Amino acid sequence: MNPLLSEHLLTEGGVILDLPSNVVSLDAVALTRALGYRDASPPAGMSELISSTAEEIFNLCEFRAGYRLFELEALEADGIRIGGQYFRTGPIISRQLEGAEQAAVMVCTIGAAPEARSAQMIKEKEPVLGFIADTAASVLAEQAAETVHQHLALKLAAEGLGVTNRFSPGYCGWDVQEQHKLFRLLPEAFCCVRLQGSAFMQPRKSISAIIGIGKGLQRADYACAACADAQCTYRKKKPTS
Amino acid sequence: MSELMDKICLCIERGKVDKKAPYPPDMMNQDGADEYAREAIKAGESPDNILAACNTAMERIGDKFSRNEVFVPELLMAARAMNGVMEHLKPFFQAGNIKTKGTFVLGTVAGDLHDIGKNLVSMVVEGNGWKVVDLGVDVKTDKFLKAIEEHPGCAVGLSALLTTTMANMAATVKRIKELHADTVVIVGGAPLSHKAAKEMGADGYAANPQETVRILNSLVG
Repeated sequence: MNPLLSEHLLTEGGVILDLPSNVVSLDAVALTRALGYRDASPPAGMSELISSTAEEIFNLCEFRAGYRLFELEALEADGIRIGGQYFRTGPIISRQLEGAEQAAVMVCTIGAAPEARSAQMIKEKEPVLGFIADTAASVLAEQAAETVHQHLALKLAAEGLGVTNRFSPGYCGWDVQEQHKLFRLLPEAFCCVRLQGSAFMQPRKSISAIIGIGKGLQRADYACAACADAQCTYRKKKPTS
Repeated sequence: MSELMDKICLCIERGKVDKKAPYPPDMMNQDGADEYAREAIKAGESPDNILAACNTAMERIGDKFSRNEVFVPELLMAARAMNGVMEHLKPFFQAGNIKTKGTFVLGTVAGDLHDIGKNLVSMVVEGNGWKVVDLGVDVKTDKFLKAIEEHPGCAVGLSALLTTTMANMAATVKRIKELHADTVVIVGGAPLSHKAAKEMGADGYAANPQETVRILNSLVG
């Protein structure tokens, strides 16, 4: 686990974290799995392409992250209220936020350069490099989010509080359009991330999420294990044991 | 198959794009699909034969993919090599000397801006001898309908990454089937499944680019 990150309070609300690149490392195993290899190893030659492309993408990353804490005003069967906004997260998420007294709204990004580079590779008819670059960028964005999550868990543990998994609009039945409400709770261009009209973030390799906070809360290994929705289409993709 | 066709076939299957390509390492500094295709055309080889060699190669790599012997990066590398050969064949397609297998209209559905998966499907499908009409991302139903009218007999591919844009996908599939019942619709993307595809009335679900090719090729026998 990483040590606590340095925090900078914003006068308009929210906390910006120092997220130097040396605290976010590229997980090679996660990358090869994300590229589709599961438990297999890439063949000779491909491993080198993967590591050199991933390194290039890593060096292009500009990590930024921050969060803002809110009291949990209401928790209902299909959503939650924080900051005066009701979020219709759906039952899968609201169930997992049971017991939360607060919620952190977090945002992190790896910047725009990695996605620009992968798009350029595709445009230059290098689909393999473009695919590796895009996948590496996604893995790095997830790892940046994980670093923020771990920071919050560590910081709050000192106060006797636990954290839930993180939940993002667009997943687990939470409408991506609710990004607009989520971003209204944050300062303008928080972490240099802006919302487009379509509710997608710019830079696109950014992650926004809500994390529940409360006594006795803990992260589940896999969200699917805590979810009773047997029909969820993501269930088939994730290990449950 | 002539020796030259065998070489084209092998280069595509192994993903050897051209002489300067470092991949695969055991074929370093050897001619690749690009050089052999140029040589074949110069030697007067029939474009149909070259295309047949390409198709054989893509079938072989596709079979390996189905058996989990190779994975998406190797499949894409083969498609990249195949696309290089297709560049040499382009004048023959334009002159009508050889024909594509058909037209595949492709797009990411309304409300969804993810394009990498769609782009990779596009490249692999094109590499398998199909004409691809890529409508881009955030594609409204009307745009799909217009493309179907402009390309009679085409098959349609819809992509989505978000669970929440699956509703838009279902609406688009429904409208396509209402107006063009015979148009084959294939759906794909992380949140999809065979069950979801069936429920929304699609003809097929493709979990990866190769599965899209398999479904498309089954349409043309």
